[in-house]
Amino acid sequence: MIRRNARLGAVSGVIVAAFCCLVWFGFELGTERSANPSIWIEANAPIGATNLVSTIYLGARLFDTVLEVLVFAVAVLGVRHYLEEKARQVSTVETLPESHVIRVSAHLLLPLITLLGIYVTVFGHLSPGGGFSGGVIVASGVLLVAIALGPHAIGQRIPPERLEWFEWIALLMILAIVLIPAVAGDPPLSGILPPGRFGRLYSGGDLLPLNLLIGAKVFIGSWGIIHHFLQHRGEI
Amino acid sequence: MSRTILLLLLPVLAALALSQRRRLFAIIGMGVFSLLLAATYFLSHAPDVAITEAAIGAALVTFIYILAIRNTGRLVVVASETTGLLQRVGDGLAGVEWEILSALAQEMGLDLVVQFVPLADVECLVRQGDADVGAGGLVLDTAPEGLVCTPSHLQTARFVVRGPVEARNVLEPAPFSGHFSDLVESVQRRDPLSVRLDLARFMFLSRHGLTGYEATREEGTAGYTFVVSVRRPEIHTRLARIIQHLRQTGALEDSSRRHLG
Amino acid sequence: MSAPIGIIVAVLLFGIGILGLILRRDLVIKLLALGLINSSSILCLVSLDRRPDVSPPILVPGVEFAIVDPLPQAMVLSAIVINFAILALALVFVMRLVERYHTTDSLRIEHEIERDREEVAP
Repeated sequence: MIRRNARLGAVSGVIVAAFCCLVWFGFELGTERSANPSIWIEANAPIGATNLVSTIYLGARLFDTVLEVLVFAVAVLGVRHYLEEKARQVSTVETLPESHVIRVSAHLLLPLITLLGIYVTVFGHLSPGGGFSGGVIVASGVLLVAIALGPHAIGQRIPPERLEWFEWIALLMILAIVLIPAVAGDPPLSGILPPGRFGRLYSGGDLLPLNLLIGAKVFIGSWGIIHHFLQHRGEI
Repeated sequence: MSRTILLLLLPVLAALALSQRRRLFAIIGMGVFSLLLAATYFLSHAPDVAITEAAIGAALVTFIYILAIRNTGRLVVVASETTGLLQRVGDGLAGVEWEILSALAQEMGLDLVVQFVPLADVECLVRQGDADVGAGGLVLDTAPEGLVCTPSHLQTARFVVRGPVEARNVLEPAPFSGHFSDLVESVQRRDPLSVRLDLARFMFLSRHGLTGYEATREEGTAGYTFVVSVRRPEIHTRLARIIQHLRQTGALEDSSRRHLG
Repeated sequence: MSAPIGIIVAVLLFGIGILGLILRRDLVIKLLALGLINSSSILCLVSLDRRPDVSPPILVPGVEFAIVDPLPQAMVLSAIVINFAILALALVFVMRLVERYHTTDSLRIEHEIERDREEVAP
């Protein structure tokens, strides 16, 4: 196997290496001009958040973020559609949940992990984190409990259909926050909430609600993906 | 300095992880790579990216892959527990059918996983694709829809157990379904029942006190079979070949004498 | 300017990912190599700013210091989450393919597809 493809692999490797050398050369020329991020500090002044990265992707580049959330939702829809099982006639084989130690420790850890995820989401405009990271952290906490309980028991605790409603409601609210300034006549991308004091929790204008909504959306989407992977008795 | 060391470690780890033979090792290697990458992002003054990469790459992506390949290397058998054919003995399993299935799993290079379910569910589960083989003292004249029966590996007879005699039971005999241990308990409690059984289950019941019940043997003979889904012909051919091989070498008779007496 | 080691390593990882994509026959490992290509692109973007003595882009009220360029980080943040979702979708397709052809070997799957196509339209 390796011998047959070695020539192809070697040729491709040489081509990729050549391309990469060109790219590096371009970057070498490019970074002569050092980046000047003071423009972002000035852009941040009316908003008053501490985390500059969140100022960018929820402020100036908000439309990018909204469309990327939409792409995420479509990918989750695709996973859900292709892993949908036809109605089962009989209750599936009861897979044993894990041992007692794992169950107890998973239930003890879940509140801590959820707390960490919500903290990362809420303080996303002040310290590193934000909606994307926080949603993923909460989803991994729920995944831990799902593994401990067994794949079919978790579906009864957290009904997937009702969660999907919340996902789309969150997306609609994000769109509302984004589009209200345009409707009200203000220039686009000026938020709807007033900025608070610099560096406090109540600051950053509408960064906090946006972080919360994105966190909710990412959590529900990631949990939807994981749930369908858990239930699917694959053949790989 | 530490950032440089981490950066130089990354290609080594990635090359090691992607050149593994087993899929599981490659996935675990990429999980460790994600963790090191998150540390590299942190040392490159990008804490947001580091948190996101750690949460996603190390936890979710690794888990999605492991969930996808978790059925690799397993041969799933659903069975109804039958003494002598497929029963739990201490921590392990024993029986005539278990020996046949172990030979099949060994030939296919898979681990054998047996799950015990009520008898009526066996066909449904194999047809749905939840299991590869259905076993446990199945006696079927014709193959149900969507399933294939293997050639019979053991002759059996049909019995009807009715009773208790004093209760004048006139129920129609129903074919046995459900868990065998429930049936044993109801016999010990002297419940009224009327059920059609096969040889192995009947022998176990009669050994453990069938007084007060009337047992008649039905006409004709039948054979125990396994059921396999129509969509997995390779399992069916292998299983048939193994049964024939065991019958020729006499190992089948040997084990049935040992387990069923 | 310190050496552009981040960019070089990112490019190297990209090359390893492409080699893994071509040379390995197992579909799941091809997907892992695709994920590696994703991560290498993100590493390249994050390591663009090579000035010494810069700090993470978190402001502290009342203190002035040089911060690293926050724009590439903002661009890749949502890209990481979306890569995960797209990778999950690709994995779903691989699972469906494996269910249909009962093997994860890409060469064998190609042969089977060719054979099916010949049977349909000889």
